[in-house]
Amino acid sequence: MQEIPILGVSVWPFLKYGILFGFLLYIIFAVVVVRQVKLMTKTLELGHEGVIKALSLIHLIAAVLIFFFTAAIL
Amino acid sequence: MPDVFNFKKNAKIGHTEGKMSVSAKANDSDFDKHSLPGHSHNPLAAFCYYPDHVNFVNQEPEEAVVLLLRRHPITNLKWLAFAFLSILAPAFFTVLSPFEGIPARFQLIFVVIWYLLTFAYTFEKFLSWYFNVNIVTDERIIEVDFINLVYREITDANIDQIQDVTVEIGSAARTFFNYGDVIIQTAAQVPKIEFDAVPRPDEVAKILRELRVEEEVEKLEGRVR
Repeated sequence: MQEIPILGVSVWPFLKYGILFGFLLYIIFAVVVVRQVKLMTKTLELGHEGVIKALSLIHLIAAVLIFFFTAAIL
Repeated sequence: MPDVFNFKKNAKIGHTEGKMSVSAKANDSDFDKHSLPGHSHNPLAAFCYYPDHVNFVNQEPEEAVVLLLRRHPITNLKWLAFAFLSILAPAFFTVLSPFEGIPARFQLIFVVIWYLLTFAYTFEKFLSWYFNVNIVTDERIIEVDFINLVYREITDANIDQIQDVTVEIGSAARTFFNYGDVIIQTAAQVPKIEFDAVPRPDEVAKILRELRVEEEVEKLEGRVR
């Protein structure tokens, strides 16, 4: 384990919480993307909205799952 | 006589005589738009003449979409190449010496973060290309711009407000792939509408010209909706 030399504390727990915080921000971004796709498909119907909506939802679900996965393994 | 003129003329007859809806006209055998040159069923087409299933906010019930335009697919090459390199990049992470000192579980998470960011970047670029469209209807020209995640801008002008149409094809790539800007000066509140990097700009200008002529004829005959 690497440590911060001055404080004598391991750097990894700090990094873990930093990464988890980053993932929380990413989940918010993924929610905004879902909202954005909803707005776009409401504005314009081009005939293939289902696939794009599904992709944005899969992206959000993946972000949430990865958050829990990261919390579990780090 | 060009197709657009015949097609639209028939459509107008439909409007005045039978108050036919756009979808009814599309299903009518007389309006065989599927055989028109430039009509496409490809959902990623950048130039689609009389597209199927295209609707937009504030569309009038009898307004027919004549043309759907996006930026030419070749304009996506830069971000597609970047996304491709980003997908390959984690294979080279292990070569970097700072990466070796990191615990395996952190290495795994860094790779996952990398792919998430790559997906986010690629998806945003795709959405930007797919939904930033230019639409020409039998009544209006519309420019739909999604500037960022939450901001959209929709500009429109009536066909009879078009004053001048300029086609700009300014580079070797644009000449080779036949795409360019169509700049439309209007008498509307927004004086200029630009169709950026659209395929077949000369054909777009021609279609706009024909629609303007048709609009003039409608005015003279008192058939304006």
